[in-house]
Amino acid sequence: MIFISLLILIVAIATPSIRINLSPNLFIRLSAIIFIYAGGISFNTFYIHSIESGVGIYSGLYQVTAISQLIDMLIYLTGSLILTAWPIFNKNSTLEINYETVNKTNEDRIMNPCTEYSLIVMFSTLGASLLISSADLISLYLSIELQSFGVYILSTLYRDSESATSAGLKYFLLGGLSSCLILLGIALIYSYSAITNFESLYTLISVLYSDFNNLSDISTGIVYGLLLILIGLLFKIAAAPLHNWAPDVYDNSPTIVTIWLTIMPKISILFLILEIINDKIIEIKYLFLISALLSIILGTIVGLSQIKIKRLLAYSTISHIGFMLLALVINTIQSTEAFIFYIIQYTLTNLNTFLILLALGYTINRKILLKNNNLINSDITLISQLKGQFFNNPLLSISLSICLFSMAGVPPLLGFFSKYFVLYSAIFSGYYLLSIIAILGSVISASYYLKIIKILYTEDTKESNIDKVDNVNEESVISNLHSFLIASLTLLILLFLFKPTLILNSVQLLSLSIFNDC
Amino acid sequence: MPDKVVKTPYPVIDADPHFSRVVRYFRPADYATWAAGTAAFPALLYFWNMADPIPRVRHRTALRLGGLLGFAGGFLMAYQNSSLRFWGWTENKREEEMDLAELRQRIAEGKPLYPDSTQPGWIQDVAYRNSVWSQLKFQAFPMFNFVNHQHHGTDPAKYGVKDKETLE
Repeated sequence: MIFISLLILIVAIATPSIRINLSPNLFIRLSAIIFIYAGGISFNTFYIHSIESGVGIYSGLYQVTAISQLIDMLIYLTGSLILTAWPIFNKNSTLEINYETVNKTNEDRIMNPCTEYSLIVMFSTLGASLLISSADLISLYLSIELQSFGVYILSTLYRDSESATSAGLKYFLLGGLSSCLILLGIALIYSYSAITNFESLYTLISVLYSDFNNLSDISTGIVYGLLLILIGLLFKIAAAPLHNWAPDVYDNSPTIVTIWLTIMPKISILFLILEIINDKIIEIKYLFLISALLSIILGTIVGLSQIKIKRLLAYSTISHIGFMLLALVINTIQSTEAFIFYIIQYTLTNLNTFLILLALGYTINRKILLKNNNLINSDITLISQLKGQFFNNPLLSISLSICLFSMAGVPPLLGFFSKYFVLYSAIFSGYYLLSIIAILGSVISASYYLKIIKILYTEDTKESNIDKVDNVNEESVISNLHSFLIASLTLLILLFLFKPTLILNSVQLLSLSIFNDC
Repeated sequence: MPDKVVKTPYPVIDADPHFSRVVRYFRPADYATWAAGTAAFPALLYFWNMADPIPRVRHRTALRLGGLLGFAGGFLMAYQNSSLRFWGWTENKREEEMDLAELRQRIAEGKPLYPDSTQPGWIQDVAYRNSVWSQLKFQAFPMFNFVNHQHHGTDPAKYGVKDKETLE
């Protein structure tokens, strides 16, 4: 669906008669509905009993498993929801097509980042979808590059912005470095074993590691190769100590891009890691343990000193990655269940947080947004910009508070259960020290979330009251669907406690489907 | 790539059916799915515009484009539904009877069980490996079987084929 749609949309953009009559806002909506359709097509073949451990497709280069189908649905649904966050501009805005204005060229319309954004995210999502189905090192590399190239371009979407361009360049260069590591790992594995297929690789590792006293050069080559691939992947998900690029890139990119960068690549890569992780190799276990530990500590400690909201959320993401890696490294049925649940929770909470930040940005900087017509100027950068927002936008502020409480792991919100499941499985498997550090990290990180909440509810000077009066009389730039999504996601986070079985049973089934193959 | 043996609740009719066969075996429900998919896309776009109107923008082109995208999406879903019955993943009594009647007719007429392909054997094998189960990834990439290969995962004896020579 995504591939066909991409072809159709590229032809549509290239056709002058269609291009003239297609508004960028409508283009975004078309893309969002395409994602919904792709998710529906994925759901249409979600037969856990028949798929079982998975079936190989495209000559065994890819595979379809129950997990990959479910994550496909999650990716497409999330992609569709992110696309709804674009604002609707009024008639004075150049983002909106005015058909009666003849001096507006077609090029102006097509250069609109709104149009490019939706095309690029479709390419990137195609890569993400293929990545979670990869069953071969070659297809892994090609898919990860397809996904990554999309997000590199996405972060430089606002070419006029110096910060966005520098973020994009940094992301591209460091992303390129991690791709090199992945490629080197693949080359090492191939040179030692002449194997690229995952299934064959697992079989070889099982045979080699059946006798620990007799490990050969082949096993050394495979171990170093796998370590390099996993380091490259950890780089891409910004796990500590390979996280340095993330705060800069997330902070300098427009929020509409950051929302994509913090969610989509992480989902696919984390599920790929779940697919390729092998607990027979002790070195991999140590790599993940160190990375999880550092991610939790650095994400928590460094986040405390942040004054910029997106940098703070970047460190929050790093801390969450630490929890997810901890769940991955334990590698039991319980921990896998906790891992899948954590990813779903992280996606929903992070998505809602950024949707609220975008909405607050549109509201606070409404005049700048409409005047300059540039989303990057409407972004909230400093935490202090949120001061007193409860008195101007009470519902958005309450929603943001609920999300932040959830991220902090305050019961009975969704985030609490995800952290609880990870910690429970860690303690159950004997990782006491890591569990204590994770609990301490969670407690400390709560302080920076509370700092934002405190600022939200601290009354600002008289300016806020003036703005409040202005905002009441002016038409909102936040779309109804955007508001509806924020409300729905907030309620989901808040009321999960009353109907937890749907998500919990699903993740349990998926977790069992992985371990039944072993 | 070894053939994956999948446990199916219904009998397998064809593990990798040819494109034309999948479309020929469409049920009225599949055509309804296709039509609904075609209509739902522009409808969603229209209702979205009702919820969040974009001022002074004509929707005709977008609705038409949406119709085209919906047509593609609806077809993929209908194709998946028909394929699932061929694989025996969903109820397929009607298709089983149609398949028996069609292939027995071919045998009675002295034709091979499945149409011959002009492609060499190894190309047929490659085509089979590329297209088998590909319907499960239609959400990303459509890969149809356009080659009359000989890998169908069924026992020719049930169609009345006596020996291998009859097949060829």
